[in-house]
Amino acid sequence: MIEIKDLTKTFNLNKQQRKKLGTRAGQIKAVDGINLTCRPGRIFSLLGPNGAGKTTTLRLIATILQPTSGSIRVAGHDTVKEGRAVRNKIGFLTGTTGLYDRLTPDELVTYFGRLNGMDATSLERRKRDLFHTLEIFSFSSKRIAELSTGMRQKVSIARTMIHDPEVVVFDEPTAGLDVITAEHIIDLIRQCKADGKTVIFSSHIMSEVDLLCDDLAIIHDGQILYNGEMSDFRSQMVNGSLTQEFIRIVNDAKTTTR
Amino acid sequence: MKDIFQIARKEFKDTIRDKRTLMAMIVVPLLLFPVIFSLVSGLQSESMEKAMSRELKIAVVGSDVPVELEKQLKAGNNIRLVSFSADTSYRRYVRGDSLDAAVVVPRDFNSKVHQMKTGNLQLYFQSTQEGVERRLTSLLDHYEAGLRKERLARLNISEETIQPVQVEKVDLATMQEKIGKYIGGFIPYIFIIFCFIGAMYPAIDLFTGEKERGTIETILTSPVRRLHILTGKMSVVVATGIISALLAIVGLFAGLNFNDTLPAEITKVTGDILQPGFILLLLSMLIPLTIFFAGILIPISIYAKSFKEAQSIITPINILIILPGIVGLLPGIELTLQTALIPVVNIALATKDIVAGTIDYGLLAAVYGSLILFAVLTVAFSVRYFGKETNILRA
Repeated sequence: MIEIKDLTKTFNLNKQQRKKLGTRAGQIKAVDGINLTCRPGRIFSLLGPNGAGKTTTLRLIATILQPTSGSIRVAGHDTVKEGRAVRNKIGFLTGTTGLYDRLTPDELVTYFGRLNGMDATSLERRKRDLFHTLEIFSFSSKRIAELSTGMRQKVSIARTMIHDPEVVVFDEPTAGLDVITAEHIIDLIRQCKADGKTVIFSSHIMSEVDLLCDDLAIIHDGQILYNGEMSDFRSQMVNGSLTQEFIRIVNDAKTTTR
Repeated sequence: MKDIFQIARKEFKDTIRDKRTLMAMIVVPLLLFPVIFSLVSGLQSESMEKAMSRELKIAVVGSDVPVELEKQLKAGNNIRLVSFSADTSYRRYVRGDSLDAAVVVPRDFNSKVHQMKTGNLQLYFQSTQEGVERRLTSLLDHYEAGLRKERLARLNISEETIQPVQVEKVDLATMQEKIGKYIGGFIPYIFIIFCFIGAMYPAIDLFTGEKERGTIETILTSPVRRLHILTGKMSVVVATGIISALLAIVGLFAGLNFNDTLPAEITKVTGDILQPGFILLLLSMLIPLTIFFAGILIPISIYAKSFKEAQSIITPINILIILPGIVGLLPGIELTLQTALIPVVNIALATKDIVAGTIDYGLLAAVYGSLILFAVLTVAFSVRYFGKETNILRA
């Protein structure tokens, strides 16, 4: 379960950033008063164009960032007051997540299992299961630097899931991956749902959202433009395709704010 | 505590698998001294020997050259005399290296010498040609000594008469004190540099590298507290700095013991200085210093977006470390309450005094106080800096 209440995050801008964004304001609201609830056993999709605030929201959930105001509860724990408990309950994976090249998959997954406070026996058992399902055994003692993108992605998945997190956060998980490799991620997301985990993932790829999600939020300029069940969204659509509907909603928002 | 240990263990493993770090941390400090020793002693003894034994072509210029002078010059080792009439072309030949030197005997030289006056000889040479002046001066001195003896005999004066005083010099300073004065300042300076260089690559790799590889989010979403992540990483940075300094000591030992061309006194004195007690004392100063270095290197590495950026900021800081170290080597700069407070300088000066056995314990305490204070300040800064989300995620 993830419960987000009136969440706002502002960043201070330095001279360079102001120039880049073409603004004279000293601050920018990356997330602007959003309210969301992600329930267990359901897949929540955060959809939005680049710079909408998706990554910031997910980082706030993962306690990498601290909210300016508002609150987030993950699996019953407050992200500010109980950061450690929250991090123990979540798995976090992004499309650009790197791995430690000089370690082997075995060492890497063991490391994160230990950091999550797992005891040796349950860590070994869990690792064996994951390596088996993901077919990692054949390369588990090679240096990660020598692995292909597909292999690395599997290791990333094992790393994310080693402590059997209740809540899984995916930030554009398939960005930069080919369809075959992306398929591993899609399978993982489905499996998480089947296991009754709470899943939130961000994307700007409509087909992926269509394929997976139960609940949908469209975010633009840090604000929620749509929040509801995917089935309702489909029935309310003005345009024929999901992509066009997404573009319409974002463009409408742009014209009303201007 | 367990978390810190886990982080440190993994980072250490990661670090020693990095070839770049391995070079800077192990290979370079270990081999530096042996290589320098063998190069310097090899080159120096060889070129010195060459300069002292090679054949010298000497022109003796003048219409009336004393036979005794020619005899003395010829008696020199490996010297060929070339006769020259009294023109001035010898200058050109000496300049052009076809002659090594020219001894010019003026027309009035013989008559002056006979009249018991001072006869002038001119020696033309190039000081850039090693050994020429030294070899010729010694030959001409012999010639002069012969003439003096003759004159004294003729005047019936004993040599003692013209030497009223002879000073016998007895140097009571031990070899350790004499050489220690230089080596004592030099040894810590080398180790200080290795503490810095050894810590530099891991610092960049463990912080900037984490950003560059896109692993920073992963480690930040693990349950480990940020302070513990920082502590674990920092301990590895400090450890690598200390290890490379220790390896430099090992290299220094090896270089001294396996190189027999070095002067025996230097080998002996350096060996005497590098006693376990001294090394421990030096280490007790290097540890807070390396923590101080880590406290400087880490915020920079957190700030930098890429390995390149980190290196371009750290390189000028390298000079800031080397310069105060050199100050410690200068004669006349002593350990005082002021210099005891300046990191790097204070270690170099204190070690010099420790080696000479003249250390003031009050000032040594001030050195430790200052080192620990600077370490605490920079570490506190690192902790605050690592805690700020905008710094860690700056991309």
